[in-house]
Amino acid sequence: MINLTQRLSALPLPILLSVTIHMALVALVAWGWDASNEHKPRIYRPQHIEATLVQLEAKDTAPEAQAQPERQVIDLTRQREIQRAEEARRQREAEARRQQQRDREQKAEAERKQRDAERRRKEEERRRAEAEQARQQAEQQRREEQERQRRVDEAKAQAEARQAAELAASQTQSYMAVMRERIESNWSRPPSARRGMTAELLINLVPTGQVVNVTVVRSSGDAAFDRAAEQAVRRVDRFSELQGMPPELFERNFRQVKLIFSPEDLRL
Amino acid sequence: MRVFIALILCFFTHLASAQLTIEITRGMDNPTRIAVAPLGWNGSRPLPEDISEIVAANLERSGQFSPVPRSNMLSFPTQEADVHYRDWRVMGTEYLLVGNIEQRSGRYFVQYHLFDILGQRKLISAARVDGSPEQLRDIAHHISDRIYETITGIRGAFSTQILYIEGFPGANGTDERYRLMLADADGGRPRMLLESRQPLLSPTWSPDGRRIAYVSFETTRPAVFIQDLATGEREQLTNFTGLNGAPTFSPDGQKLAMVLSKDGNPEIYTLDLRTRDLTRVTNHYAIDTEPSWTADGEGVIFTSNRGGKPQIYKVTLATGRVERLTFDGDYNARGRVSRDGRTLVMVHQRGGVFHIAAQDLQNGDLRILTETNLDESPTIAPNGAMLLYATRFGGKGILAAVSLDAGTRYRLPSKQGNVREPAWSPFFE
Amino acid sequence: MITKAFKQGLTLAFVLAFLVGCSSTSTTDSDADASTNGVSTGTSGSGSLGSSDGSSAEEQQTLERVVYFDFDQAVLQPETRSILLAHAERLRNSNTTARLEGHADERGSREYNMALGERRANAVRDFLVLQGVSRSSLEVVSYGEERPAVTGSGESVYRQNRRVEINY
Repeated sequence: MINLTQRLSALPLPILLSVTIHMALVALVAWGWDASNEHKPRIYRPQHIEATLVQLEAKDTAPEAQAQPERQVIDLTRQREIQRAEEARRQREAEARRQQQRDREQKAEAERKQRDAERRRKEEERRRAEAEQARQQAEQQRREEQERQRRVDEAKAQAEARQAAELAASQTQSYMAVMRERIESNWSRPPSARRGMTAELLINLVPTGQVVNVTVVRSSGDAAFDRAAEQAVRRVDRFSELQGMPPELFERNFRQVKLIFSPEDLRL
Repeated sequence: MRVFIALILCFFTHLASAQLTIEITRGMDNPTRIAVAPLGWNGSRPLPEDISEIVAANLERSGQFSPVPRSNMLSFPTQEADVHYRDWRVMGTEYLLVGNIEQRSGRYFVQYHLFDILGQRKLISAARVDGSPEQLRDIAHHISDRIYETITGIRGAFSTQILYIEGFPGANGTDERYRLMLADADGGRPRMLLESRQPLLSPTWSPDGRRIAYVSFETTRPAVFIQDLATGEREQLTNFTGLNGAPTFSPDGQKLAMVLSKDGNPEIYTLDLRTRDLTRVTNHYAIDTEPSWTADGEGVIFTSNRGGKPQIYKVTLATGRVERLTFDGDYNARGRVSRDGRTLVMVHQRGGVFHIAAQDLQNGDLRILTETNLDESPTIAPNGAMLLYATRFGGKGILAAVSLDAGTRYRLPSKQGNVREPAWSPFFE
Repeated sequence: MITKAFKQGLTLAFVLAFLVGCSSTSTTDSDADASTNGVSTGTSGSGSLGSSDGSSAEEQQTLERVVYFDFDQAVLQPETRSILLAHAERLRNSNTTARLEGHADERGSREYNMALGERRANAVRDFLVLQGVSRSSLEVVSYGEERPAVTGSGESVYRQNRRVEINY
């Protein structure tokens, strides 16, 4: 429906006019054309009074009739009336015929116009379709281009991500090694320590490397062994080497660290 | 964008999916740094004994502690209010002993606290101990025991004693006078229990620490004697021909194992101290000597050369079944079993050198503990942490100590004569 | 390898040693010994080894009193036989008792060395008994490593301490 309205608004003016006239005509015919009083009758004296069959002529002789002077008026009133009626009838018929003619012409015109319009519309549609197609093709190409570009970007990002991951992994390993070494150099085993004992601790760190919490999550079974493990962490107190760590690496891995104390170097 | 993140996370999976875990497999066993602050004392004259110094020396000797030298202490707190954790922390101190001593009616009263500097809390709070003026050293040993036990979880043996033989050489260099001595575990306050011109050997403790037994040649022949420490009463238990030697008390204190050769050959016997019944335990033509009891009292360890050279065997008393315990080295003798029954210490010869060795009775592992030559008479502390033995140093006989993992060693201050044959007392309950 | 010449020399040396022993030169004394040193004067010098060439009665009495042993051994060395035979002779022909004191060097554990010393002394006793000496005239005591003849360390010292002394 919308398209129809759009189409209508795009139609050229002649077509619009023709339609309007048709509508008016239909309306007039529908309600009767009345020779109303306001309509002043024209008094005209034709040259010949004989009632002859009026030929169907296209040309309009009404205005010429109007120009006739008013000389022979007195005794031919009735005739005049009949003539007038006749005339009127003839005029009416002529008019009607003319009107018909006009109608036909107008209709033909209108049809022609309509066909033109149709043709133009079709052309327009075709043009639009082509444009659309072209646009879609362009769109398609653009998308493909985008896709290609995206894949390239993706591959690059993957490679970068892999590199970043490897870097992060190796960094984590070396920070872990530093932490291990600090703890080892501070781990003093009690006399009750024996091979095979294992204690698990959980420590919480902050980015400065400061240990903020130590808990034994799995006891070795020997209180002094557990305490010595805790003490090793307390002696370290701050893994200052961790300060240089990238913050996201710290957050991901080093906020909370598990330590497993499992000595392999005990003589007993 | 989401794909990027997903990829990154994938690479982190092996680290992020499991908690970051660090395995600690080695340690450095640096001794624990402890500061023993001098006890507060308001007396007009200095105390005859410096309790804090004795405590620090005890803890250092154990090998587990490294006391902060007094000269390094920034302050001498004597009460809790004077303790500022951060000051001690900065010095690297891990534990701090603080206390004071006062004298009332001739008796000394000590109150003390032990602070955990790293953990910022008190481990011992307002503990008290008191004693007579002669007991100042005992007070120091008691405090040492409590500190040791609180921190290591093992009972301290600082309040124990040792027996030993001291020989005084004559002009020609060989001993002509012999003394049986009793001293503190740190060698302090030595006192003479017996003196003789004839050899004395093999002193040993009863399990309750009230009696001792030893071998004396005072009758011109070796004989086993028993003596009550409190009363000084002594009794000759044996008078057999041949050897009478190597007495050791059973874990229940009722019997004495010994070596007698009265039946023609050195064999192991047990003597019931109440009934005086003598029971023969071994029966072999080889030398069987140096008996000592297993921890459960059901068997006797002894030295025998029935296999050709001296090795250590065990006989189960109920069945008489004998099994060999030592297989390493050319010569293993004088075996003693630890109270927990796990370790056998002995004189062990390897490559012509006599060491003290410890053998794990469960898995048979042998550890040489000493680097010195001519080591003998190993005796284990009642808490199993240290071992005393006799050796030579500077041309004299001295006593030395080593821990069972050989990580700690020290020498007792040398005495006038040649010191040997130590015997470590049990805990005095 | 012991060559013939060496064997002959050794025998000669022993014979000479006996001659020396029978003469008046002093033997090494174990001075810290509580037991009396004196060789009983009651013994006659008759019939003993190598005493036929005019040695005096006093000289005959100072026999070699010490026999030596190898480490951890209580086996009599062949060369000690002759010493012991001399003592056996003396003991057989008199009513004296002898105290056989066994010793060991300082190495090893004390009580084991006690037993070793006793073994050595027993070895001497058994030999003497085999030679006809009555068992009851022999007393055996071991001092283990408690009474060394020479103090110090090293094989030259140890060798002198692994011994049995025959004291009358």
